[in-house]
Amino acid sequence: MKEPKSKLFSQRLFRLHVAAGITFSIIMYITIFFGVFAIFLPQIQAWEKPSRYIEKVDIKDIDYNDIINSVLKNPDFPKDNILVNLPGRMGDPAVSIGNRFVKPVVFNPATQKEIKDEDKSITNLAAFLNELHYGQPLKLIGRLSFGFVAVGTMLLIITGLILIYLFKFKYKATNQQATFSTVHVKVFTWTFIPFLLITLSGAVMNVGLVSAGPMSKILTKGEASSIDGVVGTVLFPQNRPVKKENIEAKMLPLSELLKKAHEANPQLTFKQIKLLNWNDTTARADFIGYNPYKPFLNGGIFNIPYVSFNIHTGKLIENKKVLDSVVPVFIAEGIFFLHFLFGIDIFSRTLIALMMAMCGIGIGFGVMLWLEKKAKKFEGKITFYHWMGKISLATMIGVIPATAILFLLQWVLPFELEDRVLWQQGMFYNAWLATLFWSFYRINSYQASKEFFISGGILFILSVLLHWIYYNPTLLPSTILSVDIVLLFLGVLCMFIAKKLPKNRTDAKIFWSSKKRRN
Amino acid sequence: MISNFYNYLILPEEKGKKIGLFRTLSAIFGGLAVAYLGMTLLAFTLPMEVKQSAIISIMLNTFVWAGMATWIALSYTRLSALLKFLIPTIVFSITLYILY
Repeated sequence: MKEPKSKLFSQRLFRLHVAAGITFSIIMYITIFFGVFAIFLPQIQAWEKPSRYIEKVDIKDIDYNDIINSVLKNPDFPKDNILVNLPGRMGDPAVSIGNRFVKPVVFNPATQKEIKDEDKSITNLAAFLNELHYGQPLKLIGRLSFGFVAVGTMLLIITGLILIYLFKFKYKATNQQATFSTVHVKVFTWTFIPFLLITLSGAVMNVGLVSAGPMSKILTKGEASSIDGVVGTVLFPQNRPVKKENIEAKMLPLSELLKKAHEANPQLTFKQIKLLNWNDTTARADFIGYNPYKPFLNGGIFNIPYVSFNIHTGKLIENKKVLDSVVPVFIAEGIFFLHFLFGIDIFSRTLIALMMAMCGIGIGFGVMLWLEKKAKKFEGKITFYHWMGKISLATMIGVIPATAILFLLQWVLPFELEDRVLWQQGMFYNAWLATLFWSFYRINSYQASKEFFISGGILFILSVLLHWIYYNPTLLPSTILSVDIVLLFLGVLCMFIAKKLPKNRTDAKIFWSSKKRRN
Repeated sequence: MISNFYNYLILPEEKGKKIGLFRTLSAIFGGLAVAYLGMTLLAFTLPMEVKQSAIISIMLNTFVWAGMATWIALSYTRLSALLKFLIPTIVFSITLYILY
C-alpha cells in the first residue's frame, strides 16, 4: 500500500528535520554556548588583564602626539600605517599604538605611561573562548566542520519553518514530550531571524570564503584565484598611499583633530585612528568610527565610516559616511552585523546574547524531545541509557563546569607561571572530558546534570571570590566589577537550576507537565 | 538489471520515515553543485559589476546550498531527486561555459 504524496512529504520533512537535528545539534550547541561568551569578548578581555584595571578617560583629552612620538623613538617601530586604538575600542580602556606587523605598545591614557601588556602567552581567556566558538583549536578541520554544521543548521531552520507552517502545534503541554516540543518550537518561532543571520554569516566565514576559489576563477575568467581578487576592492577598500614629500612638518594635536572630526560627522563614535606619513607635510589621519544610528548598515566588518584630515594643515580630506557605499556592501553588512557587533554598546550585546542563549536552550530541548521519544519505548522496563543522551549531557551541561574551571584557573595560576595558558586550556579540556566519563558513569543522567550545574555554579562563584581576594573589589573600575557580578549571578543561577531540576525520571514527568498535575 | 535500477529510481519509498543514503548524497552533493554553479551564474547575470554581484553570491551561497539540499531530499521519487540535481547542474554548466 502506498502512502499519499502529501503524507510522504510531511513524513520526510519531519524525518529530515530530526535526523539533521541530531547530527548537528551538539556542535551547534557548542558554537552557541561559546558564542555567548564571545559576544562579551571585550568585557572578558578587560577582566582577564590586571593591567587594564584603569579608569576611563575622555578620548578628546588625551595627548596622542606625545604618546606616538615616544613610541617612534624606538627605531624598530614602523613609521607608516600606524594604528591608534582609542580607549573604549573593544572594551579596552587603554590606548594602544600598533601596526599590522608589530606587537602593539599600550599606554594608560590618564598617566600617559606605558603599560606592561600581558600578551597571548600569559593570558588568553577571551580569545580562547572565541576560538572554541568557531572551531579554531582544530585548525582548518575544526573551522570547516563548524561551517558545515552552520549549513546544516540553515537546513534545519528551513525545514523547521515549513514544519511550523504545515502543522498546527498545540501550545497546551500536558506531558513532558509536549513541553519539550512547545519550548523548542516557541523559542525558534521567536528567534529564527537573528539566528538565521548569525548562522548564515558563520557559514560564509567558515565554508563560503574558503570554497570561493573556483567561483572567483570563473567570474574573473581565470584572473583571480581567491575571492579577495574579485570583491576585495569593494568590501575592503584601501586608500591609495600618498607619496611622501620628505619635508619635516609640525603635527597638529590629534585630540584637536578628533574634535574637528566630531564636528564633521557628529553621529560617529570614534574607535581608531589610522596615520599615514607621520611627521611629513602629507601626513594624513583617518578617524575611524561607528555610527550607532544606522545599525545593520555599519558595525560589521565591511562598511566603515571615517573622517580624514591632513595632520599638518588640519584640512578635511574626506568624510566617508555610512550611506556612501554600494548595495552589495549593505547586504553583506546586514548579514554580518549581528555576528560581529563591532563597537556596539553593552545593552545591545546583552540583548543578542540572551537571544542566542535562548536558541541554545531551544536546541537542548529539541535533543531532549528526541531522547524522550526513545526513552518511552523502554518505559517501565529498564533505565534509559543512551549514548546520544550521555554525549549531549557531557557536551551541553558538562561544558558549564569545564568553562567555570577556565575562569577559576585565570586567578589560581600565577601570572609568572611558565606555559600558563597551556595549563589553563589543558585542564579545561581534561575537565570537559571528565564530564563525559562522569555522564557515562552515572546511570541516572538527572543526577549527573544536577552535579554538573552545582559544580559549575560553585566554580564560577569561586573564580569571582578569588578575583576579589587578589584585587580589592571596591577599587576595581565599574566595567571590571560588572563582569564579576555577572559571573557571580551566573554561578548562583547554575546552583538554583541544580536545586530545581528533577532528581529522576518519575520526578521529571511531574516537573515538566502542566501546572494542573503538579498541584 | 537496468530496469531494476529504473524501478528503484521511479517508485517512491513506501514510507517516508527514512531518508536513505541515495537521497542524502544527492541532497548534499547535488545541492552543493546546484547552489555553487547557480550562484556563480547569478553573479554574471545580475545587472552590476562582477566585483559587486560576487558579494551577493558569496553571502548567499551557503544558504542556497541548504535550501537546495532540502528541496532535493524532499523529492517524491528518487528519480526526481536525481533530476533536480542533474538538470540544473548541466544547464548551469553549459551556460557558464558559454559566458566564460
